[in-house]
Amino acid sequence: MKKCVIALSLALGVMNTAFAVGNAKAPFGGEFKINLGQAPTTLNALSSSDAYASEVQSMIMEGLLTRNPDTREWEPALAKSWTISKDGKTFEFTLRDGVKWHDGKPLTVEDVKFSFDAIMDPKDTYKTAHLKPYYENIKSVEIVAPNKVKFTVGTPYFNNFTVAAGLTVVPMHLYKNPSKEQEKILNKTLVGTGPYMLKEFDRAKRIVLTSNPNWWGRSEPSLKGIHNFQTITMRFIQDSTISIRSIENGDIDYLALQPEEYAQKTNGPKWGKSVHKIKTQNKQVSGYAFVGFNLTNPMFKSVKTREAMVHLFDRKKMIEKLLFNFSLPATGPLYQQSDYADPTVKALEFDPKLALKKLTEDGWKDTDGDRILDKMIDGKKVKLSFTILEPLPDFVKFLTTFQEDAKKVGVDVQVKVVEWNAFIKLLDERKFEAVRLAWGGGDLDWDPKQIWHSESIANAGSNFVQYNNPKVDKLIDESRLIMDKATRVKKLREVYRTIAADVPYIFLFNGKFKFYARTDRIGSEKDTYTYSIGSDYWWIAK
Amino acid sequence: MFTYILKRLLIMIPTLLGITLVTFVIINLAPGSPIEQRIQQMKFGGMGNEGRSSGDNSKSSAVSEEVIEALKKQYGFDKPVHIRYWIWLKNIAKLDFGESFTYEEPVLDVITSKLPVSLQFGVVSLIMSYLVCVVLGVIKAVKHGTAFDYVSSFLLFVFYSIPGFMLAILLIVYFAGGGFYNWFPMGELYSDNYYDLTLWGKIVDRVHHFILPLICYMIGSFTVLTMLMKNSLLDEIKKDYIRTARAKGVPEKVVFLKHALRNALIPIVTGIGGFISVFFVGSLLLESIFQLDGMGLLSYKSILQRDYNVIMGLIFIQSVLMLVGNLISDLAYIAVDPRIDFK
Repeated sequence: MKKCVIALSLALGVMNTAFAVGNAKAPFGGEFKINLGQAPTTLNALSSSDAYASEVQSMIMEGLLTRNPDTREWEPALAKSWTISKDGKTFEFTLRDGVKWHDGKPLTVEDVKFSFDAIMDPKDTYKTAHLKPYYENIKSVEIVAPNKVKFTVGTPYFNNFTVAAGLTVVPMHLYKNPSKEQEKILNKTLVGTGPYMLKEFDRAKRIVLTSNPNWWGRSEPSLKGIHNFQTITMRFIQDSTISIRSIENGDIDYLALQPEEYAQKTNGPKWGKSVHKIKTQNKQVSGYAFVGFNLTNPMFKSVKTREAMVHLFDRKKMIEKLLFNFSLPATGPLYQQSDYADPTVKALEFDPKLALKKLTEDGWKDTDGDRILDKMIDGKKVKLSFTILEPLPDFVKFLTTFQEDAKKVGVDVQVKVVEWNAFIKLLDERKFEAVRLAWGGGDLDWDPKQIWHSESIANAGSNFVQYNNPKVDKLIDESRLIMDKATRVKKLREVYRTIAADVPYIFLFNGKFKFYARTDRIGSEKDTYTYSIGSDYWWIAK
Repeated sequence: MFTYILKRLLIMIPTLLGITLVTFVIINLAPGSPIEQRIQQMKFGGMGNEGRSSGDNSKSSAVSEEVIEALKKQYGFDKPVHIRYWIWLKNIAKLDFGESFTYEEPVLDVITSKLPVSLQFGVVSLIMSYLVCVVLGVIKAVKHGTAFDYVSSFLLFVFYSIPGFMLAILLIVYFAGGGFYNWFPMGELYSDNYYDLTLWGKIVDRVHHFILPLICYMIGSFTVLTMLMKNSLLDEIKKDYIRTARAKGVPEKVVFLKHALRNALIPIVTGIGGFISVFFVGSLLLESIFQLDGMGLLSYKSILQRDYNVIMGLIFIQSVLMLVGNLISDLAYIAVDPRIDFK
């Protein structure tokens, strides 16, 4: 394993030439209007935890490095260069010269060190407990020269560098030990180094950002054609009908769409003329929904029974009738377009006859004529009857179809919709028979430890179905130490195959596309980049 | 009278204690606390209640003990429940409502920042409902049994049966530029250029934004109040003193508008105390449709996010308003109905 760590060597450190991906001729200026969905509760770069705040922060604050949306290679941002030590345990970043905070003060290495120390502060002065788990593997950040910082990590792990390079740098002169009054201001203002500056935050109305004329990136040839707007206005529209009306009206210029909205709600007279809807496909990770079995329940101990359940789930029909044919049946524990998903794994088909055959082989039989299969397990008669916990009323229509098909074979399925907090409590206490939930994409580089490693069963970890396969554990542990992606892909594809064969979940659907709408005011180089929609590269065309 | 008011005010103290204690116990018994909310965010990403969670992977699998301890300290949960209630109570005596866990601001600041929205709609819909409903109720009573009465009743009940949020969507689609008429803005309280307008322009702009949401806010109470007015007046008309007045040759108009109306207004007027709570009126659905940042959304979100201090603050203020409102109602009774005496 250690060899692998050493093998990573300096591969990342020499990739200092950035590839320009924007349109160098894109005109600068104009107002780009988007819908944020909701007002962030606080903008404080350290303590905020909602997705709305991080979206605003992503335009104002910067990290040490950034990723190219087409190649996904690391590119310089606040750091102009970096090196990784031979043992993979230290990373050194050299800061760019002349970068200024939006209030005019210069960016320093102290800011970088403070950004890390504030997060890890044992007294939790900066209310950052929610960030600590991400950084736990980084032991320290030290200043080694007036423009150089060194990150030292604990255990080797392939993702350590990502965590370090992605650290958001905050201005120490504003955040360090603020008074009560200053703290209040930090909730409503945001000072960064990035291409946009916060101009207005009116919780009841909008957020306005304005272009930062002193942004260091303006003089970088490789960054031509990026961040082209003079102003970005963010609205807080929550209702989907209203947000679609707003883009038709031109009140907003860009809107991410749900498949149902794309198929059914975006067909008025303005569509195709002043507003365009776009169906696109890139390698951004997508999540998948699943029904997870409580594997410690005697009913679900046998893989045959679990397979039978998959054969009773008519995913093809649901995709056709309810998902507008925009999805594929999932084959395993990851979005199947991911590099880490094994393409040879095929989805189990809907086949009630085969399901019944497998159940019979497994010993399930209706012995008492109540039309529900049963079996003697450990001297007790167990009926094949279980309840699926569901947090979302909207999803019940899918489960109802399953319920009906299962009933015909003699499997009694109940569905219980549970409020989110209660739902989580039942998961944490492992008090469920089956559960329906969805995993979001997570990071592009897959690390299945959080969900599939047996260590994650304890302490209310995310392996709530209590999946435990020593072979998978071993492969996961090994893969975490491999820095070379191709080797890691090989190992993790085996994990993917093994888990898929163990059927701990009924893996449901993988969305094939991303959907969004934009008005004809917006110009863009292309509909999507390999790893993102790329709205940073858009411009106002008229 | 004075001792009565004093007694009522004194009774409020144990009542409030009871309400806050019960609320405190209930929110602490309900699954999920601010700490668990944060842990969920770490484990599942922030968007939990959409039934989708992100399996993030740049962190370890379980949340460590140190992190949980840090969180407990951050939220003051390192002390037992009864101590926390006692601390809350001591603070409330100093009118310190604590800090909101979500907004990281004093609860009072959070509540007062949402208050203007609710206040505007509450007060205006209260005044408008009274103005229109009393007049309409009287006309309906006078014209009882005529075509006008039937048609207006029919319309009132049709409106009554439409949920406010449905009406909101319909109004926006038809009258706010959704492909039909573009007469009104789609939501929010004022336009982007509001601060550049003249005073008159500001007023027009506000009214313009106000009309659609106001209709939706009022629709529920409208029918109830009109029918209450009408029936109350009809009840009075049947009474002996009216018959006497009519027998004495008092003109019908005077009988209705002077003698009967005064008494018929009693049940309506005495309801006025309850309206002190209009300061806190809020509707989750309307607020999210019209993009208004008011009390409805605040209450809903603070319950979902287990923002204990905000929940407690809202319950406390609402209870005080309700108790004071009831007292005002009773005093209004005494004022308008000389037969009642609370000695």
